[in-house]
Amino acid sequence: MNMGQTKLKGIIMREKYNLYHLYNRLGRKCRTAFLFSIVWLLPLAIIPATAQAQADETITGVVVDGSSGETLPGVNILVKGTTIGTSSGANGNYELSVPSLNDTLVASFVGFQTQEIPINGRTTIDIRLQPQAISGEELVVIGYGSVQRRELTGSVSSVTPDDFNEGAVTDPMRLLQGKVSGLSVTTTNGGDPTAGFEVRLRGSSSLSASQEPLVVIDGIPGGDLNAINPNNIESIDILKDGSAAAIYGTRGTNGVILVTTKKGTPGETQVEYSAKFSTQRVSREIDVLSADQYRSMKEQLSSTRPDVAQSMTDYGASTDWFDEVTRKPFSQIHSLALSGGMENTTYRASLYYANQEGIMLNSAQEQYRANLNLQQSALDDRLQMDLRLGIADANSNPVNYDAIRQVIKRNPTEPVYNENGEFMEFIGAWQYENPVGMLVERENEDGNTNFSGDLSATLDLTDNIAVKAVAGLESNKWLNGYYEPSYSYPQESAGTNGSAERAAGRSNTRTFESTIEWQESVGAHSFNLLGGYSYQQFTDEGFDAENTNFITDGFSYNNLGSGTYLQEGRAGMGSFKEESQLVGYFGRGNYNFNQKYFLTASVRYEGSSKFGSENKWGVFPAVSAAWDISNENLGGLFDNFDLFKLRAGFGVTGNQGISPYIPLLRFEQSGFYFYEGQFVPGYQPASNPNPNLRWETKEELNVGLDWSLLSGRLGGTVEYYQRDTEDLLHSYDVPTPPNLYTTTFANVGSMRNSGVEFSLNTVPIQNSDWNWSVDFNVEYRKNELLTLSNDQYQLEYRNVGGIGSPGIEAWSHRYEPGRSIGSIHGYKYEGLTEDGEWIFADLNDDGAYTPDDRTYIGNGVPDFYTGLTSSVQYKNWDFSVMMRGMFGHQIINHKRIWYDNPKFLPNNILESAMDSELWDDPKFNSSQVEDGDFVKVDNITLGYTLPIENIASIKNGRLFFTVDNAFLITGYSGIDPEVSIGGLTPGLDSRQDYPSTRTFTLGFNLSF
Amino acid sequence: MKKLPLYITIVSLIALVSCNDLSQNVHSTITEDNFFQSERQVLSAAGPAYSDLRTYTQVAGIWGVNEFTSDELVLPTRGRHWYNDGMYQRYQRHQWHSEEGNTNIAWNDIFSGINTCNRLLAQFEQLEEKSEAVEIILSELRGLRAFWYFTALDMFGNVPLVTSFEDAEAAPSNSTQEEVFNFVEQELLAAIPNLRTEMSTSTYGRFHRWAAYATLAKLYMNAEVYTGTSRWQDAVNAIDEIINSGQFSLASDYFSNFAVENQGSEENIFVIPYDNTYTTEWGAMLQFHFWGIHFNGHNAFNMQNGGWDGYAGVPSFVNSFDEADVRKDMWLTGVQTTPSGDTLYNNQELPSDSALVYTVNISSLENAHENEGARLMKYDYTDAQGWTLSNDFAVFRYGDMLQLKAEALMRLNGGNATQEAVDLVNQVRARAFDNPSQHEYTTGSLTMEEMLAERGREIAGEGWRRHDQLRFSDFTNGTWEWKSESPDYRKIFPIPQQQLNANPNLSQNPGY
Repeated sequence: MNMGQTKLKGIIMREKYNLYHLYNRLGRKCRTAFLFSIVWLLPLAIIPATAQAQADETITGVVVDGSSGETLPGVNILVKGTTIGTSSGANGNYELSVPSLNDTLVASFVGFQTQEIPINGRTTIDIRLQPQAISGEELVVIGYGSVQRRELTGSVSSVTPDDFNEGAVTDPMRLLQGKVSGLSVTTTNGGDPTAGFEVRLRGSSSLSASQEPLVVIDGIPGGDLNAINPNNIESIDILKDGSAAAIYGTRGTNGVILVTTKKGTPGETQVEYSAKFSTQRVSREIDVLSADQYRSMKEQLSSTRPDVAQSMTDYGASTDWFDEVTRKPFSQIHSLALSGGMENTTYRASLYYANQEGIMLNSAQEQYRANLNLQQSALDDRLQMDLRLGIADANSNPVNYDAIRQVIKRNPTEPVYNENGEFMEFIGAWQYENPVGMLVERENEDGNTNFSGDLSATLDLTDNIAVKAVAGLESNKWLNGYYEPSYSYPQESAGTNGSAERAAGRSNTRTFESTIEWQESVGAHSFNLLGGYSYQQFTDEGFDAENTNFITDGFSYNNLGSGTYLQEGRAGMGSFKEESQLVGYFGRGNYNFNQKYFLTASVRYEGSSKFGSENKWGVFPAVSAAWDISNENLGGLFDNFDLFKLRAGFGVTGNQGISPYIPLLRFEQSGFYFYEGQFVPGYQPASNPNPNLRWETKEELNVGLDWSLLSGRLGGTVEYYQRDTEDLLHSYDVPTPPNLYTTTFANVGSMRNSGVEFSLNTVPIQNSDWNWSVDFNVEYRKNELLTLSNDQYQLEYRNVGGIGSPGIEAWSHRYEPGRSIGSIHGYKYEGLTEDGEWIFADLNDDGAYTPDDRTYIGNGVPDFYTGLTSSVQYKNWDFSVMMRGMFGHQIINHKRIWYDNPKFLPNNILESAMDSELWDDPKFNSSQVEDGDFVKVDNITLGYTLPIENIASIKNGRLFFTVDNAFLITGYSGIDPEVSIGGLTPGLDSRQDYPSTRTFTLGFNLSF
Repeated sequence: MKKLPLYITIVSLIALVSCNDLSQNVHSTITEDNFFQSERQVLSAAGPAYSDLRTYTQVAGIWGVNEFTSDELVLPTRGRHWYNDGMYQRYQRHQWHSEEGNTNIAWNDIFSGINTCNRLLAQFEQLEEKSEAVEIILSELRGLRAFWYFTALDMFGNVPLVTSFEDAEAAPSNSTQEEVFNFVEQELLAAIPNLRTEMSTSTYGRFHRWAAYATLAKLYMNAEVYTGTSRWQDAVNAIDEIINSGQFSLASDYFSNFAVENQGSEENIFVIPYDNTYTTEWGAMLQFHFWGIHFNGHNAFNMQNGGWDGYAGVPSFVNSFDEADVRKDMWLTGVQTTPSGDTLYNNQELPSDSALVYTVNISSLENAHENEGARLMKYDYTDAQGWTLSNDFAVFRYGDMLQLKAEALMRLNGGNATQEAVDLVNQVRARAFDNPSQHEYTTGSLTMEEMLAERGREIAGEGWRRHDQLRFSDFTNGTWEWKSESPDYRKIFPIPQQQLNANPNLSQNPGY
């Protein structure tokens, strides 16, 4: 089938494609790997054994290539639903004993379509296998349409369910971890079930505007990934470079993640059910002094530092505070999906339930998600209607990360409870609270409901012109409650009787988009033109109230009015509403000459209400081209390539991810002032207004090479990009006077990100029993801040990131033109004096440690990122390992700044401080900044596919066992070197965090 | 292409339904267009000029920088607390540099106040009809701006003079101390005729004529420090305006001026009102108690929240009080107990079974113990709820003015006390003793040195010690526990590096 035909009836062909693809996917799943629980394994292992014992009929035949007629050796031939099978010999001959002549044979071979042949009583069966579509024909979603991978001119990565990370995944981002070069999905909050991931594509290209990629779900920009069932995802395509992302002009700067969900197919109803059960263990503990070590330290210091020894009170208990705040959690995830349909109507409906316990006490999340995809075609398939409905409800119990700091510093000789059975607390002690009490004696519930619904209609006006319109609403509502009971530490400290807070809000996105698409092929020339309009309106509103002093703790946060603070005028209350609009006109043209030369050009003209009245509109053009040399028939070396495609693209994208009213001079309430005997509210400007605010734009140049050898068994991509962000939106220092505030949000600086991405996909072994594939990617990223000044604003550098109390005024990072953002700035450690005092490099030789002695001592943004996935399938078994690494960055070990210092006694300290010579105030310096290089064996999965087709109506079954975060290889001395790499203060491993965990998951999938 | 008209129709339809409206719909804030519509809104707009004033008492800001560099108060590092990168040690030692965070806060607070005044002056001038209330506010704003510029002059010397909101240069350069001095003087003199004179609920906490005269008095007292030319007689004249108004008198109970409910004080001339229900913005609350009191010490006064165990009196200063002086009670020393008599305990590096006893002595600036140093409780902390004291802070006090007049008279008399000066000082001092006649000064005993010491005892902790020490050349030349002689350039603070970074036209003060 030639490419022109494929394009001709985009919609219909897409439908066929889905059928074809689904079939293929299921087929591969059958070969795919499986894990087994004892219950399932034993009876199932018996089935093939008994089947084999009954074998009594013999079938012979020859296997040939259906296109060339040549015989095919090594073709795998199985009796369907069993493990009985053989391979064809050197001349394509085969011989197989089958249990019954009513069975069906399944013949499969790499590069050919798998074929099922009912035996129908025959004993001689010749098999003709048809060649499989060459790699490169799979469709890639590129925003407002899709193209064959072979025709791509921009940088787009695709991930399909076969490649997804397995395990107890609730956030679809987790599926992508380590899979795509250029895309880092960072776990910044350890094992907190209520926390998400930090997602960065090709690094941070903005200072203050949004740095997260745009998520587009089934064509609707700005969707919530956490509202969809991960099992519903058909594919995820990532637009990486500027030329690909420019069609989403305004929000394309940080890349675009396009998610396509599964749809139903005509035919009998299919039921899929999957369940996962998991538990977690702490992956690395914080080594603080045990009670015994604390006591021996006290004894040891009684001669050298008697005053310190005296202050170390031995309360007689031995408490491992880390143990006390953690538990062995149990979590489960269930997913049920129903799909099917008739010729003109198809559907897929699914229900998803996840109940996750965190490893810290009281940390939990419970989620329900329901999705419906409904397709209706009419007018002889010329009209296609798609309805998509989704609802997701999540109840989260986040915990206070400060508990971990309390765990570290709490005296291990203290018991958890005092003699009255209450939590042992010291009222009045500074920031010293029983961490168990902190976790247990709080009620904290965040409720979140997400609704999304959209309807699209596509009409084929002619065979080569289609118009489409889609309208949708996404609504996110939240209701949070927080209660501190009267017996909790902060309430007892303040002498109040319980404190309650409630907060509620709603954010709505309304979308309308319409497109018109024209496709034509004339001889070797193929054209595709697209034009469209997009309107989105965003509203964000909220309400919160708090009250204190309740007559009973029984109300929790459910009877806010009954506290006394409201009447005393001390209760808080607030509400807000914000709104913004985004309007875009866009067009794109694709041209393809003879499958050799490809050209794409697009432009988006977009306006955002967030900018100044003269600067609301921006133009975001892009152009890219590709040359597939393997189709040139040049002979020689190129004959060996299935694909050898050079790509180059240039695109301009924008960023408007800022709050909506910055250009305006707005007044907000600012406290009260004394007027005529009473306090009356005062109003003052909310910020320095900047009516000249405009788009932040990014220009990106991308060149790449895609290649593939040996029918796709060896292939890869190499890419280089350089992205320059201009007019960086940021708060710039301005003089006061004359300005009201010390900073103005403006477009000033520029920044350059560049990098090289390399990915390799290989299938080293592929035969009837074995299939081993290895996917590897590595990338290098470099960031440089070019300038922070223009004729109006001057910023030489800025210090950011306070270290914290007690005792440290210092900043942690400095950004400055000529350097990468994320540079860590502080004193350079040179040793200790005899008295244990710090010695730092006195860079200006003035004999004192002043800010001038601070210098660059690291950078929190990694230089190299890598991911490796190795999957082995042997018959029904499969085994895969995913590893991830980041290199070349430094981490501020926040915990060590305070607790690797014996001066912090009598509070507890790290074990490593036990023999430390240090005796000085906490000072942030290079000795607390460590290399953060790491490799994580992030996911290990062992699976077993059940050979039970047509048994008890089960079509497919698979069991698997997964270990997440299995191993960590690093020289970093802290708990987890995987910390935030985005923003202006990357590489900060906080003392207030959530423990990293290792997750063990047992799960199964069944389809009927 | 027969169907071309159809396509055009469809595209036109799409274009028709398309919406290009990108206007900003503002919901929970007010834009300039719809503000200043009613008298109430106008008065609300004036509020920030007064709420900005609350930053004047910040311990991490104007008040703290002035106090911790003087011989009066010190914030020592205590065990693992209060190292803060050595900032507070450097303040006390006169070794501060241009990147001290609190100095920058002081700058920002001062200029935030100035900018707010400039902005409101511009906005109110534009009002077509000015009510009487608006006319009053306009003159108050000029007075307030002069007060802020006086503070800027006192701390930073060569600050940029920006007096217009709309025509201001984007990056103004420094003015000389003399220029700033002249501006403050002229502005106050110009505002005075229009400022209100009565002392009532209406003028409480507002910038009235007597606040302006008190600011002038402070300005003239240090005229020689700022410009090299003394203005002693002008100081006397300004204070006489206050005395002759007959609206102020000394309180018989010294501490009643600092009580929680101190609104009735006839001694406090200009106050900044605080209230734990209404004035609760962080960075603008009255928090002398938290910064001073020990973590556990709040239980002695039934305070709701625990202290932070920070600053204390410089021992030699605390020891300068006569045993019989009731003003000595502003210093908390000795064992701390709850109101019902239960002993309070240490809870940091000292054994937790040892009683909390505040000592006058501070063993070390680098490593003091949690209990060391006498704690200042001039403003009453009893029953403090929430995060701010509800006492109103007295910027200018009648007792202070009487003393200043006495000092100016002595200066005019070649540094020797006159009987009038002695009478004024004794008048203020009398209430501090049960038997005042035994503690009276004479023209012989009231030396200039004694004048400085007595002023210290009277107005300790009120934010004026550095101002006084400057005038007596005691700020840089004086020495005390941790302070040796410091160079003259330290009479003013450096312009914070952050400000220099943001404004290329600003130059650093000499010496830094």
